[in-house]
Amino acid sequence: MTTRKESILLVDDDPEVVWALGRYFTRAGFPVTTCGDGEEAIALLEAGDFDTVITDIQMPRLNGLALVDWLRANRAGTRVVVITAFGGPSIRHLSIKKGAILYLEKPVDPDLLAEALLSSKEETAFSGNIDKIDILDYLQLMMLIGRQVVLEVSSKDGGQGLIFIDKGKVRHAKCEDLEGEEALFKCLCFEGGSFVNLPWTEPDKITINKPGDFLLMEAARKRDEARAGPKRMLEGCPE
Amino acid sequence: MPHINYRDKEIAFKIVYYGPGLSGKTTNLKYIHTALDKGRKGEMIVLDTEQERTLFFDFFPLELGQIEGYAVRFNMYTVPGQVYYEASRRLILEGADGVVFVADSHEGRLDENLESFGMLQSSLADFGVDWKRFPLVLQYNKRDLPQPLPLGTMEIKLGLNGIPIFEAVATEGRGVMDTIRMASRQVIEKFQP
Repeated sequence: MTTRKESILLVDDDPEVVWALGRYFTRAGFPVTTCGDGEEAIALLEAGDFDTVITDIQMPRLNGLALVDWLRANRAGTRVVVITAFGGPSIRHLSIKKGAILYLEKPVDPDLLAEALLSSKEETAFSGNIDKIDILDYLQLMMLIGRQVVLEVSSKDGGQGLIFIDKGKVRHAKCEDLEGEEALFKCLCFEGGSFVNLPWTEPDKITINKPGDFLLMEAARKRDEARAGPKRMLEGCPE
Repeated sequence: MPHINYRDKEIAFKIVYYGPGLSGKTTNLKYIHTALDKGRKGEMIVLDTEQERTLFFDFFPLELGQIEGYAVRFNMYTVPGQVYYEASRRLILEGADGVVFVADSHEGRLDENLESFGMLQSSLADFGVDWKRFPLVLQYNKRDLPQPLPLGTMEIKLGLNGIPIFEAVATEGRGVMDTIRMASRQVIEKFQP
């Protein structure tokens, strides 16, 4: 059986990006259509279906985030990848919150992007967005279903970390200068933010070997103790 | 609801030991873990929460065997009793299939028992669970105290009707296995009426 390649609409006002990514995906066998801003994209989307839209954010006439809004309202089944040269934690957060499956900052690695598109197109699987979920619950779900994924977690104030989950087991985590369990707990104690599943890549080392249940409960304990702070000191000692 | 692992053909039920700090939840679980055959239990995971330890382990019950070709597994948890471990309790209680409430029979701890039970009710309500239809067992622990709380005190105060009650001295293992047997039976019955 031959599998149909994803049709891609590539939206960017930078001709160099359109040229480079367009050529890469065409050579890889994806049918690619390109245009230079959100309004042109909507006209193309109204005329025909696309599996995936890859869009820049800053563009004339209609920007990429407005295009993502239009897609969520009118083409809910189309997956969206946001790429930008002027990103940051808040733009990342907003893009994911609006429903992008992937957010990448330029220069974009086309191999990573292609891998993400291929891995998200299993025909029996569903795609969707989860809003207002505790990151602990999401990590628990990834463990329960035995996923192999790199979970990128971003906090509202700019913190960022990567959690490597190999067939449901957390193997490695990185967060700023930290790694291993310290990095994992730092990510899991962020006070809100966003996350995205990145395609699996082998971690450069294994730093975590503890069972998943322990890691989840330990993270919850750290949260509780951090939130309780000095209040705990006022509570009674054991009877 | 239980977690069903279709790939490995396994149904995992979650039983949570709930109750005020130092009421004997950990002692119950340690006793059960020690009493189980080596090949049927997982490693005990211990979390150093303040005052008392939070425990987790899983086991395959011999007497319950399989359901529709799926192996039955129980995941056993204690919650940390101290009030400020709210997120921990919530995480542990989430998706629980049954609860054993371990009450401290010390007469001076009635209010703590009632407060803890109130937190359990409110957490279950947050998860959309009607605790009156939920597999729940009440264990009066520390029955070896000179003047233990009279049986029925908690039920009258909380309006609990028809809930299974067990007396226990968890440090000696008395009543511990009867309690878990009843809790697991209730959990399975709810899943397979």
